[in-house]
Amino acid sequence: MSMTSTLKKDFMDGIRNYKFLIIFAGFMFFALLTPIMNKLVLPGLLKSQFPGMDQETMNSMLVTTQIGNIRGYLGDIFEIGMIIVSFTFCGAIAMEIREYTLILPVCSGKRYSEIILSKMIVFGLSLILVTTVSILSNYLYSGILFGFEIDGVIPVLKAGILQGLYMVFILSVIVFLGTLMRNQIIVGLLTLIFAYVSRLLGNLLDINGFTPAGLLIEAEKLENGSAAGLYITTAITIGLIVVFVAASILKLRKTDLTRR
Amino acid sequence: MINVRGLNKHFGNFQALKDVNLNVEKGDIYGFIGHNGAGKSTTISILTGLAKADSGTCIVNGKDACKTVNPSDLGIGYLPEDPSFYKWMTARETLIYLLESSGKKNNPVKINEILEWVGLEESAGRKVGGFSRGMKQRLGIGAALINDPQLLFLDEPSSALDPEGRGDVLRLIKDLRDMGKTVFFSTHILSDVERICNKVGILVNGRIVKEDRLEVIQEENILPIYDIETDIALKNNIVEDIEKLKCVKKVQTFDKRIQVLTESHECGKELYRFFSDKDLNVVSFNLRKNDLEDIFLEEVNKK
Ligand SMILES: Nc1ncnc2c1ncn2[C@@H]1O[C@H](COP(=O)(O)OP(=O)(O)O)[C@@H](O)[C@H]1O
Ligand SMILES: [Mg+2]
Repeated sequence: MSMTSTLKKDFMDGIRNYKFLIIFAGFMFFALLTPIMNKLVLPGLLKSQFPGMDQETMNSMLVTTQIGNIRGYLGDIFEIGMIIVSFTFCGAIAMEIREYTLILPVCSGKRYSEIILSKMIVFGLSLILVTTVSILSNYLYSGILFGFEIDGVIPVLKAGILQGLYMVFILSVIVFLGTLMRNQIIVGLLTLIFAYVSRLLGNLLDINGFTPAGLLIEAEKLENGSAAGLYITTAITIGLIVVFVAASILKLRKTDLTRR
Repeated sequence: MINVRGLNKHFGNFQALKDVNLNVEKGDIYGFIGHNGAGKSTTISILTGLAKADSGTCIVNGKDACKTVNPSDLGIGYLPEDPSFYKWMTARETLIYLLESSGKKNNPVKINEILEWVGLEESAGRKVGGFSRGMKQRLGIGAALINDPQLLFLDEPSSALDPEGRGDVLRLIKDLRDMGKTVFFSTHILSDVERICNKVGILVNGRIVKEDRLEVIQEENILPIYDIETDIALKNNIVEDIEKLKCVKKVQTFDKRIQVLTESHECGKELYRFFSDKDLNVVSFNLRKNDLEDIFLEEVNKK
């Protein structure tokens, strides 16, 4: 009963504080914007800037394929979608501690594990749903504008789910940082820095396959089937999520919720 | 219901609680008095299992709250100093959420009873974010009662409220007393304590300086000073005669009123006899009592 009520509460929080709406609108914006930019805006821009340019040179400067569009969208999401996710959920735990909203539920019998798990489930599932729906929209829209070239919808679905899983990992980082500090803006900034720096390091050291960011690289391939490397990346990501969730529960249990 | 022995708590080098001892019995309405920063909230957060003590035993409802406990295992109700709710929830949703947090099923009858008791039935469907301080406080008191605890901790329930809000809160605490609940509440408003408490503990700079039944404290603090007013100003020779009475130490005159410092309040009989023997018309005859405010200030100043 208690867990159901926690899930219901976090769901209500997502609806009433527009968290679901913000991430949905944010992701959909890029999913629909990328094809429009590539099909209509950029070619027009180039033509007006360089009137004498021949078609071939112009095409080499533009994205003209569906795959190119989807990759462009995935790239945008890593850069800007991450900001939306970080700052939509940065208060997940930080704000609850800062505003003392956990005291009464805990006194009533709410378990610390429920508090953390419920956030992960409700917000995590919403992230996977949003990434999947958005990439499907991007796939359809870019297919309509540029012609379909991917063999079936499965690689696209796979990419959406992998991207969603990466976002769930980011969520676990946000939740864990929230148990360490009460300022949600700092939580959001640290999460972003963490995501960008870890991807950069992964690139430099060539170890992306062993970090959660490997999921994004795998998603951009838009391939059917799955390489052995993907299983390792997925397992590492899920392992890290479990570690962050467990650490958050332990830390929250030791936190003095009444501290002013 | 509560028995605290040797409770200590530090924040870094600062010792917030020093060897605190407390004893609260079933049915007590215990007034925990102290100025701002005395350590009231710190004590309460330890006794509710929300914060850890450095040392001591704190038996609350038979469990030691100074040791690691889950707050909900203590079977208590708690109203924090500034109760926080989700601003985007309605009052009714808040109570349902807290009831379900304990693993129980929603019970609309009970929720309605509580809402009505705290006078929020009209506002039950409004978001808590728009509530006044007094409404939040009443919702908090309702929330503290959601699991039918026998023992409630109320941290400054009336302090931040206007007179009307304070009156509402005091009425609710009286109801709790009539329900047979034990209430431990902290405050710095001493008249509230005099109105509803039967036992008092005074905390000064993290130390309990006095703990007793309210009437005992009041009794102990009756001063042996009589204020006597007559219909005409007393003549000097009469004042001198009063000074000559064995039990009288000092007399001060203020026109028609005199103030007599005596050895003990047993002296009242003798003074009374003196005035009737002299056939003087006494308008008022009062033994001066210290109110809690004076007692408190006296205890604070001793330190
Ligand atoms: N988390 C904390 N860190 C440092 N000092 C604290 C902390 N909490 C309380 N204090 C100090 O402990 C003392 C008692 O505080 P508190 O229990 O809130 O007093 P009261 O409730 O009686 O006003 C105060 O001097 C306060 O500054
Ligand atoms: Mg306080």
